Amino acid sequence: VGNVSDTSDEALLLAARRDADAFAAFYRRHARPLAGFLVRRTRDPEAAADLLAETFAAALTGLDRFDPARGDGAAWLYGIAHHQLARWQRRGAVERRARRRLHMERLELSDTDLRAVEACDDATVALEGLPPDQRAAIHARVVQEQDYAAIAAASGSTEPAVRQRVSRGLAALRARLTREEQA
Amino acid sequence: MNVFDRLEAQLADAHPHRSRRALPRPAPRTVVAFAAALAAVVVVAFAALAGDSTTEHAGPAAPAPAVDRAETTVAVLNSARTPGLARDAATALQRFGWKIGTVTNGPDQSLTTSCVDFVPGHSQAASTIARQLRIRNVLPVTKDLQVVAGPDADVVVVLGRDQIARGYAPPPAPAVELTFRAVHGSHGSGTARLELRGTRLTVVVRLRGLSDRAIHAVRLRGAPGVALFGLVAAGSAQHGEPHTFTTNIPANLKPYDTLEVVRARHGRPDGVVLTARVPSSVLG
Repeated sequence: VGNVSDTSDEALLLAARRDADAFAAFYRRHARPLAGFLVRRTRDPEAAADLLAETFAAALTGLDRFDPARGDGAAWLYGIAHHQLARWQRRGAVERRARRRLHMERLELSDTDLRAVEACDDATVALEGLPPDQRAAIHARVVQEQDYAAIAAASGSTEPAVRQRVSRGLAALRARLTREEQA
Repeated sequence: MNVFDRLEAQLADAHPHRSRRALPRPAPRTVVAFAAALAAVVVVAFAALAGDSTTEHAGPAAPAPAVDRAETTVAVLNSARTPGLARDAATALQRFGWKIGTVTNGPDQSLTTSCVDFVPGHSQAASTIARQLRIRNVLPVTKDLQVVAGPDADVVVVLGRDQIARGYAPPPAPAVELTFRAVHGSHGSGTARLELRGTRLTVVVRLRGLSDRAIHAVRLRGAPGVALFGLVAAGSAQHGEPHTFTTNIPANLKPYDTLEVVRARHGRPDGVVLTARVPSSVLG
């Protein structure tokens, strides 16, 4: 997969059909932000953890159906999550179909686990899915109010490059938050 | 392993083309054997070494596995013949978030130099504890200590005479509740609850009536500049839902005196909207 943090979600999902490591990288990028989204929606960390597991299991069984021409990788994942959420709301129980197909046991959850899931309801977690350079640029510019020249000098980069990282990072955040709103 | 690691392991197992495990692994045995062979004073640098090796095996995108303090059981043994020493150290460690196991007398009653012993896989936790108690020696655990510490212990702190005069950190300051006031020309309101435990500062903010288009940054401001707590997403700064930020802060919080909420729009800070004074009582 090469340098994973530079690899797009779409490339990871395509590679993940044959490569378990690519799927793991996609999982690590999105698990906590998605858990935060599910906690906000359910207000129930146990249901959120269950939905998270079923969503990723469904993503794993459905990798062949992912088509980058029809939308980006994160939107696809959140689409599955929305579907699972809707079923949970209708039936009062979390779907287990994908996990059954994969012979995945239901995870036993300790209080610490539940707290860890609950802690994902934190906007800083939303930044986790961004590439590190964008995350650093957003911290420096938006939170610390450093000017572009100073950030560029400190990170050994150019001003236009830093501007681009900040605006791309914020755009990605906005896109994700919009997806979360459209339940 | 936390719930996210366990789910990752399940998914890795279920993948039709699983090649190698994408699991964070415990510290490699070779490093432990090396330390055991050295069998003398091993300094904190050792733990750093173990930490590096662990990351190397954890796959390209995995961060160094974080130590889960609430899941790490620490036994505290008093080998200094000073009543109450182990109890005080245990209380201090509890404040740092560790799970406390057996607290009792150690097999040796005239130890001069304290040390922190770890069960394989817990060297990082041991080096963190050593730093917190200002103990220099970090060693793999021996059988006799493990017997006294009990089967659940992951880390064993053995207190010697050098810890008698140490004194442990004061009890944590009570949580402080603050109310934000809107900066002139802005609207919105909110509250914040600040709690300092050891070097961890937890801030819970509840914001109401802020723009749902903008991303808001919550930060501390003071003489040394600003410290980050985190961002509150667009759309979630309107209804008073709690947002929790936890951060490691320098031991002295004093230079920071204002908690601010800043609006960020179109990729640039768009001004402070809410502020609250941080009283010195939060400093403990």
